[in-house]
Amino acid sequence: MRLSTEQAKAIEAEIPYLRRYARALTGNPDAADDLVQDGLERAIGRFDQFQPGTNLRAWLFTILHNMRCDQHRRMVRRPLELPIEETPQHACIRATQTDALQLSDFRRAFGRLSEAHREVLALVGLEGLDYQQAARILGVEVGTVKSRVFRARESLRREQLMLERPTPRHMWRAAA
Amino acid sequence: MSGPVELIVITPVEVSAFVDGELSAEERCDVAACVRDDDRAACLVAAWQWQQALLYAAFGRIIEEPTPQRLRLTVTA
Repeated sequence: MRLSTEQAKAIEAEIPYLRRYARALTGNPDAADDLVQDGLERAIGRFDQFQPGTNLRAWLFTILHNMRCDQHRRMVRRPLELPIEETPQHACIRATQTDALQLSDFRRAFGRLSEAHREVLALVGLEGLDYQQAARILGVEVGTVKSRVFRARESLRREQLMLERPTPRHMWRAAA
Repeated sequence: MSGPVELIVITPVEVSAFVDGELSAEERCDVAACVRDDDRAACLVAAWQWQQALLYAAFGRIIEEPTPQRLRLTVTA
């Protein structure tokens, strides 16, 4: 399908958000951009199915979600292809060394979550969607999103605790 | 003689929804009271809010990166 200039501009403006969502899902900048590219191609091909006046970003997220589901059907569930902390430094906030360690641990913990948990946290926690919007994108009930967000947070908290670095005081206590 | 006492049960799932601003006004008041009075609930809220901050610190600024040309061309070419 051929897009009008306005339609192309509207989609182009969403690319940064698609890349962020895809990066949180895949943990790999190249894989994320590949997913976004495939998603854009599908979106352009089916743009006649988009209803003007509805949320374009949510529609594009739905396409990425469905494509990712297709990918998963083709492969066995596996950890992220690259450690998620390998995202470029310029993508991160400037931080002190302690903050950088904490952020690095957080990325590792996030990367260990199941994709369903990473996805729901990306939509609600990162993209700021409400449960109803997230439910539409994921094709599940609102109640499922509500409980999935909770389980994802708890899994993440457990992973964070497992990765918690011992401080000198902790070590001193352990040694005493 | 006092009337029946209403027992309100707050689950961790509701506390999580509270963090996301997904509760009705009445539910929000109930959970806010629980968080005020219960250290465990307060700790959960603090931990999840900290997670939110880290999530945004880890991924938030990706949207500021320049869009790769191949993606732009997919749309505009």
